[in-house]
Amino acid sequence: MTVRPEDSDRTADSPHSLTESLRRWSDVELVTALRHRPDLALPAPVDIASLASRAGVRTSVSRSLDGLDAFTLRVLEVICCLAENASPDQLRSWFAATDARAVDDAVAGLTERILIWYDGAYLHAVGAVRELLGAYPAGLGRDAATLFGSVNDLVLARLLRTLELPPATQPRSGAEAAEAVTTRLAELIARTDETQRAILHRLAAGPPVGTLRNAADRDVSPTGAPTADAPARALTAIGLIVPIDRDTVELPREIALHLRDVPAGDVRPAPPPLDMTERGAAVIDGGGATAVLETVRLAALMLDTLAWDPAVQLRSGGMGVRDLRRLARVLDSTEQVTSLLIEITFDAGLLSYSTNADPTYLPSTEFDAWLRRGTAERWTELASAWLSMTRLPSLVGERDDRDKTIAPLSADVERHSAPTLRRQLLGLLAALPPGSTPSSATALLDRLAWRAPRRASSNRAAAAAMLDEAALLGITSYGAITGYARALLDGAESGAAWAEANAVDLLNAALPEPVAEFLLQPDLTAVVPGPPTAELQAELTLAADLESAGGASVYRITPASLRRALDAGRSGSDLLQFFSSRSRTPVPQALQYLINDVATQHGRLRTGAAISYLRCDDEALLDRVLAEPELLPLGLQRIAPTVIVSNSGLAVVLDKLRAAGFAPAAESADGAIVTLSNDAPRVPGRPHSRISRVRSSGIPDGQLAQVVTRLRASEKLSMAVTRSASRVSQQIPGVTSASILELLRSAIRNEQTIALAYVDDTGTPSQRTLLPISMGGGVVRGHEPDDGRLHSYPLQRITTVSLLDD
Amino acid sequence: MTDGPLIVQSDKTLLLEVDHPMAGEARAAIAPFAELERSPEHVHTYRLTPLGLWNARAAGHDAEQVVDALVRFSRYTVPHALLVDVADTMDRYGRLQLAKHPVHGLVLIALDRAVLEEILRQKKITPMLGDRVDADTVLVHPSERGRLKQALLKVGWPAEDLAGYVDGEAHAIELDNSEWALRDYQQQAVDSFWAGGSGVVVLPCGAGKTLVGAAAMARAQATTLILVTNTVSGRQWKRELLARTSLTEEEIGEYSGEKKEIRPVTIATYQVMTTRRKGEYRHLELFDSRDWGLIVYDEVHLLPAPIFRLTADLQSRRRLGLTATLVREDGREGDVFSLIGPKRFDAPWKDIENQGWIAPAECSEVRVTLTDAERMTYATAEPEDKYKIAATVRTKLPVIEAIINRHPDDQVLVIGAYLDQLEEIGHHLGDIPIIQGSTTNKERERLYDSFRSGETRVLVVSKVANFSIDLPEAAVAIQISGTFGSRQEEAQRLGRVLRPKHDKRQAHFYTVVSRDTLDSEYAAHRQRFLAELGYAYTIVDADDLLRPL
Repeated sequence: MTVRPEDSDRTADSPHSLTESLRRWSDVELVTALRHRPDLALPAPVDIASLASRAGVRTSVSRSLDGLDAFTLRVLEVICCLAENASPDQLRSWFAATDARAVDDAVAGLTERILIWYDGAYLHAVGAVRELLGAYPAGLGRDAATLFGSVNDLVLARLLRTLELPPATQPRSGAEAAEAVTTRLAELIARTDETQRAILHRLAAGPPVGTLRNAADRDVSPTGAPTADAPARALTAIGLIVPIDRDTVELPREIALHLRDVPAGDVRPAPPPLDMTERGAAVIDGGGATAVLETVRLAALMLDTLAWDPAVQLRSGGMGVRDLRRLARVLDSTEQVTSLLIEITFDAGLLSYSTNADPTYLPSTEFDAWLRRGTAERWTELASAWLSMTRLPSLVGERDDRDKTIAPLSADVERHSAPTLRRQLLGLLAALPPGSTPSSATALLDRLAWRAPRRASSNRAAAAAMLDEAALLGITSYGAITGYARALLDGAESGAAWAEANAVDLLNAALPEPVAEFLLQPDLTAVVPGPPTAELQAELTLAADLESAGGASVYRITPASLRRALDAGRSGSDLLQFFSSRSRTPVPQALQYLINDVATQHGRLRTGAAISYLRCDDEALLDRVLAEPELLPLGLQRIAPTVIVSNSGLAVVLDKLRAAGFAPAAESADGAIVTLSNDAPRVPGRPHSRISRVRSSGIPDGQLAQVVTRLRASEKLSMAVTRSASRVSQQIPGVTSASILELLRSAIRNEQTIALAYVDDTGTPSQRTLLPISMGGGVVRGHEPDDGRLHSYPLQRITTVSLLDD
Repeated sequence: MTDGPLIVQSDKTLLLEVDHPMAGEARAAIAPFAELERSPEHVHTYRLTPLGLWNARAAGHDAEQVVDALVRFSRYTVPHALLVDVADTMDRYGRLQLAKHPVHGLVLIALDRAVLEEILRQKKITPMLGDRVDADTVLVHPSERGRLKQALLKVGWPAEDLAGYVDGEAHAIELDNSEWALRDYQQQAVDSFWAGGSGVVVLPCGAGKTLVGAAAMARAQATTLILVTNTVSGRQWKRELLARTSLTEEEIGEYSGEKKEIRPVTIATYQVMTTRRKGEYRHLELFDSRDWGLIVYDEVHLLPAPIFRLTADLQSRRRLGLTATLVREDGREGDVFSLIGPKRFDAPWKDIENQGWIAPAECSEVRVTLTDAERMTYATAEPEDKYKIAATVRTKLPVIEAIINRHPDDQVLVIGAYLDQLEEIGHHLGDIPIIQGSTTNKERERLYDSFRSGETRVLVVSKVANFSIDLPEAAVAIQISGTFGSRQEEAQRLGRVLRPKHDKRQAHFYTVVSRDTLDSEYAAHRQRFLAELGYAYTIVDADDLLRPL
């Protein structure tokens, strides 16, 4: 790496800037840097200068900071605290002597990530680092001089009195107070009692600010009785903490450094210890396999339920709470688990929504393909989706900013940081030796907080929920990562397809051997003592109802379930054969009877489509009809000894029968004979309608002329509008504006023709052309140029007026 | 993955493969904490419930034992979440204890202060509690002991009752062991009851529950109040006690509608205890009339709600519940747990049958085909009459006769629900005596005696005989109609023939059913309960019976 901080003497050829420093890096070093910060490589920077400037950009730095562990982050914070004086020696002095080596390593790591650079004497933080680390790097407040300098004189006067200093005003008062407090620190701290010291230590550990109502006031209790915040108030009174605004106090940096064992604070270079229990990889993989089977079963059940009763997509996106509850009921599970499955199957593309006007959530065609795969493949698809999805299903059911419940599949569930957090969390588990489980989830979350403090601090609840989800999906079992999930995780990092195949193999080895038989019991249940083969499951699901699932499946055989199988085309003997061939125990007599009973009743009623029928008590006559070749086109079919049905209409059947020499009679629905042949065919009469009386000639000329006049007017108008600029219309309906009056007046004065848009008393608008002659009494009068007659129009009905050029 | 006989399901049921070589061992391991739900031939179903787990805790088992049993016998790896849940649930029992404080009397002691704080904030519970003695102890009004336990169970923090029992008025009772001895399982039942203080013993019909009661009395050596379902059952208790113990006629009192005797051992009916006049329970004082040392509840699954309320006040007395099944149709199993006590003993029916203590029974369903006229009547009947019409068809008569003729040497009970049908059958078979609701107790006793002595071979009984009548030599029961689909009734009726026969003869239980009607639908529902207990029905066509043998 560039320079180990040990060689701290700045030489003449030391770099003066990050760019210069980077220019000296070897290719290998640059590659390492880009591996740490892949976003700097996309798009590829044009030169080193642009790389250096992009390395300091806020979003890029932020992403890189998120990946730092607590100790490295603290080293970086201390560098920022030291500002211009961050020499390696100075930096090391802030940490425990035993951690010196770790500090050097951290510096090397930070340099590698282009978060700091070394000019041969001092370490410098890059670009936006300082800004991103917040107001209180390393949990330290501002120095005393700055803090006291910001306090107003009224408050300071009291403090100066307490410290027995002469009265003064800012900026002298602030500087003096700061000076006094920092020099007399030991004495002032000795004045505090235990509670007060506890407060100081808490603030010293960081963050250095606390809330104190009316912080600047001496005492808020009117009775003088000690209040709960009296200790904090006492500290303010002697200047150990400083009120920075109405309700906030801050601990000056000097005091924190004085109180801390090491200036950098209590941060360990090694992750917090994690107690482990050894359970053996087989137990963990086996336990996960149970969860895997359950996950795959529930996902299939949920999607199948949605297929027959789709869920409506909310207008704001997502699935409504009623549908969610319904699915949870079907799955016999919680809404939380159901939401998880909804999100995963959607992400995996098994669930989608229709694109019609009212979109509904339905299984996609992918679902059919998924169903055809083996359990291990199915699970791997779901698990991969979960690992990479940018969704936090645990948010479903919580309240959003507007206090609305967050729905599954809605935009509120989206969290871009989710996959990284998931990978970091599982990465911790994957780093443990196979077969050992962490003692508790809390310990694991603590470790995550050390490993990625910036991401974990605000996401502890999300991470805890992820652990629950992982256990539910069979990613973890007994708190440890399962072998197949580990394989999947490896693949997710290197992006290799072989990893999925690997996970499938490992999972197949862990899954219990599928069972192709069951035990039939006299209470009409069938117990499959293990995971059923796909084929057995399909057959059993058809003929029996699943009553309990898990390690085994218990199916109950009911008349309804048997009927379902018969409806699907199985016969009674098929069913008996199925049960007797697959059962490890003899078929109970009650089941044989039940199957026979249901089978004999099934289909006793038959239904079909026919258009006409022939009936005759004389079976021999019907025999003759069927034997008649001329009647073949009628499609005759005998459905009972005395009944024949046909697919032809009644009239055709009658004709053909008569032509073939039979003497049929037609009968009505109630059995009465009807005679069809006497009436010539007719269609039903239609009621008279007005449309049929429209005359094509004889319109009076006057009417036609009117039509033409209107046409002209609007023609002229449209031309006029293009020519004339002086077109005025009503701004407010019913109110004649001054400009309309003005235009009318000028038209009368100059004897100009106008076009006006007019609404008559039925509300019908029309266009008129007018040579106005007078206006008064709310009407305008004038001649229409074409007929010369005098017309008058109420002013309030005129909507537009335009002057027409001749 | 082991190859154990147990499969754990996601709905917290456990499936036990009976034919597995380790099945016996596994059954013994899980029986203390899992409720046996179904025990058909091949795979038994147990269920893990909070109540069952607390029962186990009350009996001194801990979560580790439970988890170990599950892990050891399970075929597939047990889901971690289930094990955690088991441990969590069991851990809830006994965080609160009811105890006797030398100064303050009855107190509730918290081993976990947070739980106490939670409880103290429950609106329904605070009125039962008195002042707080210290951070972990709260006074309890002695009269609220039972109700408090009920309420705590409901909020999921069942209390361990360590407050002990009053000894009651001493009274010498000895078992008269000259001609018989307590069976092993009866002895076990008494022992575990006594060790637990109070609780319920579950034994199949005919397995000698009365003797368990008698033995418990002998152990208590104190005055005893026995609550039974009806007078006849009470007289039977009395007869048994006279025969099997040192108690004499003068020491046993009957407290019923007819007599109001209060003696060192008093047998009272639920009915008289719950009789109200002007809105008051008139006979409540019976509970206080003597310093009872033991209270026995017969047929606890039928215990009426008012008795629960009364029992809540009796928490300082030892209580023994006896039943064939803890399944209550009203779902008040939790009240039985908190007021009478946890289940102290349970034995699968088939096990006791295998030991020869109850008669092996063959169950048959005889299917009768209706005549065309009957089918027509059935088809056109109003829905509410359909069951009765199907169940009481005359076509059943010759079939019943044929069944009776099949067992010429056995005592036969014909059981039905509809009186006109019973009269018809009595008449058809040649004036057979009928016992029904209106039959006087005296007449009943006479008929039972005559049946017992063998003088009467066939007896027709209505629903009144569903419970607690003792007909030792009934070897054949024919059920001709029932109360719709009541599963419990079916079990009780089967119980009529389960008493072991002197010559180890097989018992027969017939149910005559009209084919393709509601009758057969209800029959299927009723039979499910027995099928789940391991009694498989054989279906017989009536025509096969009617054909000359």
